[in-house]
Order: sequence, then C-alpha cells, then structure tokens
Amino acid sequence: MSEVLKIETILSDDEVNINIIGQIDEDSNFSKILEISKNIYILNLQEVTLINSCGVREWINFIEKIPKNSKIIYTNVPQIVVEQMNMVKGFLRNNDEIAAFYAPYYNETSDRIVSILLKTNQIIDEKAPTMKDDTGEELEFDAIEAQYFNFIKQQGS
Amino acid sequence: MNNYTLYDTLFNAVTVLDTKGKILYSNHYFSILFKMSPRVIKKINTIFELFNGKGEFPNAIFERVINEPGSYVSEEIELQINELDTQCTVVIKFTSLEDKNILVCFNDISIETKLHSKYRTQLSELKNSHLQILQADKLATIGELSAGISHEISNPLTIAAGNIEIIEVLILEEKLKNEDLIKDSIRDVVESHNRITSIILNMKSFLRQQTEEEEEEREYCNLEEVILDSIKFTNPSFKKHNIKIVQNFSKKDIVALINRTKILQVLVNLLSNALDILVEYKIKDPKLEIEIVRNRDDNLLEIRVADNGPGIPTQDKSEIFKSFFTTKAIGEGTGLGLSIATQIIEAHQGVLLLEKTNIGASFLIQLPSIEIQSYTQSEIMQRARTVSKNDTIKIMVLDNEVKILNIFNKIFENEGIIFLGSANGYDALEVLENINVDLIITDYIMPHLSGLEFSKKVRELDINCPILYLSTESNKGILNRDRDELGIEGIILKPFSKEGVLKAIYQALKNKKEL
Repeated sequence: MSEVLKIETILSDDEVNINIIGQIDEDSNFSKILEISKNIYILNLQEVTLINSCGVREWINFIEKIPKNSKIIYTNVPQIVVEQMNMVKGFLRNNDEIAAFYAPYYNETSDRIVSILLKTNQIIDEKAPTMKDDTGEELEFDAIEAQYFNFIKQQGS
Repeated sequence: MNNYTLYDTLFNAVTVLDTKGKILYSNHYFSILFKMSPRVIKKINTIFELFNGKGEFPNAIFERVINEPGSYVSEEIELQINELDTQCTVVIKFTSLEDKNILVCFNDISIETKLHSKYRTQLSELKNSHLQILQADKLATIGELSAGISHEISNPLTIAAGNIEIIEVLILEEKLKNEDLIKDSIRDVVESHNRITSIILNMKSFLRQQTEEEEEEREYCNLEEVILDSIKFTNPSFKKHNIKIVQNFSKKDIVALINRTKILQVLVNLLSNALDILVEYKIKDPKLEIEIVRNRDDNLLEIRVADNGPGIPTQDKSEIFKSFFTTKAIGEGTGLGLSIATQIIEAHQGVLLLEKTNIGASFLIQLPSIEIQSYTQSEIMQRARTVSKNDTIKIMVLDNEVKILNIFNKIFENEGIIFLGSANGYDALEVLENINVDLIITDYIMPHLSGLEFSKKVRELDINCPILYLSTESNKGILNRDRDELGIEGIILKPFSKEGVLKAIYQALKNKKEL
C-alpha cells in the first residue's frame, strides 16, 4: 500500500482551504473533500510528493464531482503536478485558476537548480519572469517555456 | 535541419542517437522521464553516460540495430532516476532511421508493474479471505446442526453406558458364566463406539480446512455416496423433528468429477436450509426429497433437493443467492450459505437453480457430465503448461470404478495427455460421436455394457483408434481373440504401474502409426 494521502481542510464562510499532503496515486481517496460544499475550493499542493497516471485518473474523477459552479484555485503547485497538468486534458476545469506554481530556475555560478514560486499573472506571452538569487545573480529558467507554461492556456477567464 | 521536431508531439520519451550513442535530439518527455532539464541533457554526450550507474543499457540491441537496420525492443529495464532514488521500469524500442541515426523510444511501464504486483498481493489476500469465509460458513452450519448431532451422540452413549452397567452387575453378582449376555453387551458397546466415532469423523472431515491445492482438486466420486454422506450429517436433526428424507436415486452408479468436500458443503447447506424452514413453519408431515438424474439430452448430472415447506416468497426469489441475504433473525444466519453454494457449483462449471414448484422449495444442481468435465479440465491444465496443441494426445478411459479413474487422472496429469474419464459405456459412446480421441482404454468387466460389447460398438461407429483392455491376468487370453476382430492393441493388467500404462499407450500409438 502506498503512502496514504492526507487531506487537511480549513472551513470558512464561503470557501475551504485544503492541504493535499503525500502521494496522489491509485489508492488516493478524495471523498473527504467531496463531503464539503463551498463556492470556492483553495487547493494547496505544496506537499504533494508524487503523482502518477493512476493518481491523475483518480484526480479527474474527483474534480468532476465538484459542482461546476464552484471555483477551484490551485496554489503552490509543484513541478511534478505542473507536468501532469500540461499532459492531461481534463486535469483543470474551465473556470479553475492556478494562483501560484513552482518553476525551475538554474544558478550557473553554484550549479544548482532552485524551485521558485511564481504567480500565474507574472507569466506574460509564455515568458518566464527574470528572477535573481539572494546575491542578485540572474537565474536561468530551466525548462522549455512554451511547454512548461502550456497549462495557463487551459485556464478559463 | 532535421525532422526530429516532429517527435516533440509524442507523449513518449524519445531521443535520437548517432551510431556512437551521442544524443542528437531529445523531446520534452525524455526530459521529464529522466527528471533532467534540457540544459542538463545538452551537457551529456552519450546515452551511455546517462545510463551510467542508473541501469543497464541494452548494448547488444543497440549494436544490432546499427548493423541490421530495423526495429528492436528490449526487455524490461530498471532505471534509477537522478539522485531522487526513484525507480522506474522501462521498455526501450530502437529503430533505425533513413539518415542512419537511431530513434530510441522509452515506454515507462512502472505503473503497470506496480499495479500487477499489487493485484497479485490483493488477489492472494482475497483468496485467503474467501477460504476463511468458507470455513466460517462450515462452522456456522455445524453450529446450527449441533443440537441434532449431540442428540445423535447421546443415544449410543446411553446404550454403551447401559451395557457397561449390565456387565458391572454381572461381575458383582459373579454371574460371568452368562456368556451370551456379556457378548451381546460388549457388541452393543463396540457398535455404539463405532457410531460415535463415525459421527465425529464426519464432522472433522467436513470442518477440515482445505489447502489451496486441495481447493482446486477434483476427483471422481460416486454421487450417491456423497449425497448419503450429507444425509448422514444432517440426519440426526431431521430425525429429531420427524422429518422424512426420501432418496430417489434412479441410477446407482452415477459418477461425478468434483471437489468432494465442497459439494458436500453445498448439499449440507441445502439440507440445513430445508430443515430450518420445515421446523420454523411446523409443517404437517414434513418431507425432504433428494433425487439424482443423469440428463442425457443435455449431458448433465442433476441433483434435486426439494421440501414441502411454504416455499420461497416471490419477492425473495431473486435475492436468495446474493451474499448476506437472509430471512432469519440477526445472529441466526450469515446469509452466505446459498451464495457460497452458488460459487462452488459455478466453479464446477455447473448451475444452482431455484425451480418453479407449486409446493415447497426445490433447488436443482446441474453439473456437466464427467466426460465433458474431465476433457475440459484436462485441456485447461495442458494449456496452462503451454503444451503445444500438436503435442497432446487425447485418451478416453472407461471404468465403472471411481478409484481406477482417479488413478488414471493422476497418471496423466503431467504427461501432456488430455484425459476423458467415463464410468458408463453408453455415455462414453455418445461422447465419442462428437470428440475424436487418439486411444481408448476400457475395463473389460463392467455392468450394463462390458468392455467387449463397448469395443464392438466403437468399431460400429467407424472409430479406428487403438483400444487397450484393462483387466486381470486371468483374462489375458481374450487379447488374442479380440486383436484381429476388433483391433484391440493390448491389455493393461491390474494391478498396474504408471510406467506400465504409459509404455502400453505409446506402444499402441506407435503400432497404429506404422500401419
């Protein structure tokens, strides 16, 4: 049995904040979220450690059960989830939004890859924003922009 | 400019190598598979560097595709991805391109491998749970029948106690010369002991949990004996409530190929259900009828268990075979009996039905005839051993004794032989009209149709395969008589060994081939 997915929820008037922690795979159970009924679901994926193709299937099944007139806002989306969002149709619904996601940048001096949290509205014309490290050195975006930011096109207005 | 950018649209990880293994191109999914950015991949010179320390690159296939242009697929390869300790399983396809470079396509089957392993584990757990449920059902049945069983045991115990008292009195009064009375008393004690032992052994045998191998085993059994065992089990309870059991066995020698313990469980279940209903509804002149029929038209063996109770209510008829459905009060029934019975019968390629009746409830078990069952089972077993169809030979064995059929079943198990067992010459002839066999072994002395009469009828059907007799030393002379007239190839003498049987079979087949 894989590492059990943990789901933490914090309810407020019109919205629910949900932390998804662990692996999204064939054993994942999202029923705890489906028991809640709110207009806005804020999904924090910061601590998702793995997502495989079976997990994607479970995810899509779950997302389709959330009322269409409710909005899902994704935040702190890790690279592994961004890659799935880019590959799989139906991962994002039309009126859902990705508020913030992690993108890989490379520091040539230290030869290190760093994950930087970007806001979706920072991406203009599929161009990665210029980022600098603590020393002021410019970092290089370490993926193919057109492919990495493809998911943004899937978002509705 | 090359055409490799077309591969950007593929969902598989793809790279193009030159004949030295240098990476000329890789797509986005190659980057995702190896968890390396395009910048890092650009720094890697050859594919061998990429695999270094991560997995075994299929060098032999790479060499082959260079020297013999075409498409080649590797075996499954385990890859260690990056420093993340992530393991993945891939299959790699190498294809030579027109420009002499090599297209390498990676198929990531990690999920399939993991799910398969999970499936095997869960299936094993399910099988264990199933065995436990079967066992629980047996225990529940014993529990329900315990009142009758203990009543049945107390009777011989009382008789034994009474007789021992008689002997004690005779000893005290020094009347030991009354030998007849002493002998009678001792005999009664022994009989009581035997009866109790039989009841206990019956229970032990019923309750014994079969191993996984035993669960799958089938043996030739006399169906009447199995039914009588089930009646023996439940009879104490029926007697206690004055319920009459009517046995209607039209033929005495009906043989079935079954897991004896499991079919016993089904029968005890049906009898036990009937008992409960007849007792609960206080039926006047309660009766249970058990019938065995050989349905020749459909090649079936049928067992009918019918009571004269109130019958199954219409609204329950479609529910009674479902798991956990019960009409009993909570704690009085598991509701699993009929669903387990159904599973057992279906595992025998049979059906368990509730028949339409005017009075009471009538359950019908239909099982395929032993000829069909043995043929099907044997063929499945040989296929599982991936024995080529051309290598298998089909042999029919006709013998009215079930233990002989079971011996042959064991002999042929691992020999690539498809075995059709039959206990009745007329049934065997019907099967031979539809299935070609390579050889027939027939017992010589049988009721209804002897081996000689059977062989004559086989030849009348224009079936020319070799026939071997099965008989004792005293009948050895018949071979000379029947060899010319009926083409009897030989005789297997009882008692026989596996080696002797196989030798006779292969000799007969060889003789036939040479003709």
